[in-house]
Amino acid sequence: MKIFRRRDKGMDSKYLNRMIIGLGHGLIRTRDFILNKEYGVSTQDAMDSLSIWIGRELMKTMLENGVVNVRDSDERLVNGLMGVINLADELDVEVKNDHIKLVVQKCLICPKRIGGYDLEGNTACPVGGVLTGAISYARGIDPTVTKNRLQTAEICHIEMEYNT
Amino acid sequence: MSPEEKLVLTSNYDFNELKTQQFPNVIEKQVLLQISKHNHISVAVLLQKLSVVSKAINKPIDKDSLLGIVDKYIEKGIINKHMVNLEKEKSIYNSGMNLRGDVM
Repeated sequence: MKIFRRRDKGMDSKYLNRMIIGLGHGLIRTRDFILNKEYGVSTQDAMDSLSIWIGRELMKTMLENGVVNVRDSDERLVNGLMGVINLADELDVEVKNDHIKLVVQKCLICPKRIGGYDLEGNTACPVGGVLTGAISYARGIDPTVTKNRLQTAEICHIEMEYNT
Repeated sequence: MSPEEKLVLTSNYDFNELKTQQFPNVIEKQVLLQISKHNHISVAVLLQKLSVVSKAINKPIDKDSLLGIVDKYIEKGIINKHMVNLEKEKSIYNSGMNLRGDVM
């Protein structure tokens, strides 16, 4: 029998672990919603809901490690997030009052572009949910993904509002 | 196209007119979907249905925000006033009960 022991993999491994923890917690929180046919949940709805919890867990870890601060601007929070997980080659953020617009180019977590999977005509973009979860955790408020214009594997536009 | 047809299409994200304007978010979609499934749904029942969504996305949904969504889609011509039973809620409030049925 071979025993595998924990090796220090540094920060990257820590964030990966926390993402998986967020996924598990998210599944518990969302199960009555995403597994219930009555709610007609699309793949994108399910991904939005689940990835919120991944984003929250990531931001929690970032704050614990001093990567960002709760007083940081939204742009700085997103930039900090980009530093710990490679969301995309290019992510443009525009913040106006309570409205955040994101343009994602060359997404690095796209199940289709990077994963190479056939999404069978669906979308399953985690970016909006991850960012929504991360920002809401830092701010103590609850933004909502209001608009997703996803051209899978190309350029995706995502909008969030704090007061919806 | 009838409001009922528009409602079903919108709640399934298939209403092209809305795609170019504002896509319904996950809460709005559920409001539209639940209204399309039930005839004369009350605000109390809608709130009860939405409590599952609220837990899933960690966002409280209160009566005011729900009525705001209903008004928004009434203005857009997606929801007809008669589809949501608003009057009944007023009588519940007036009788001294809140939407969960607890005595205030």
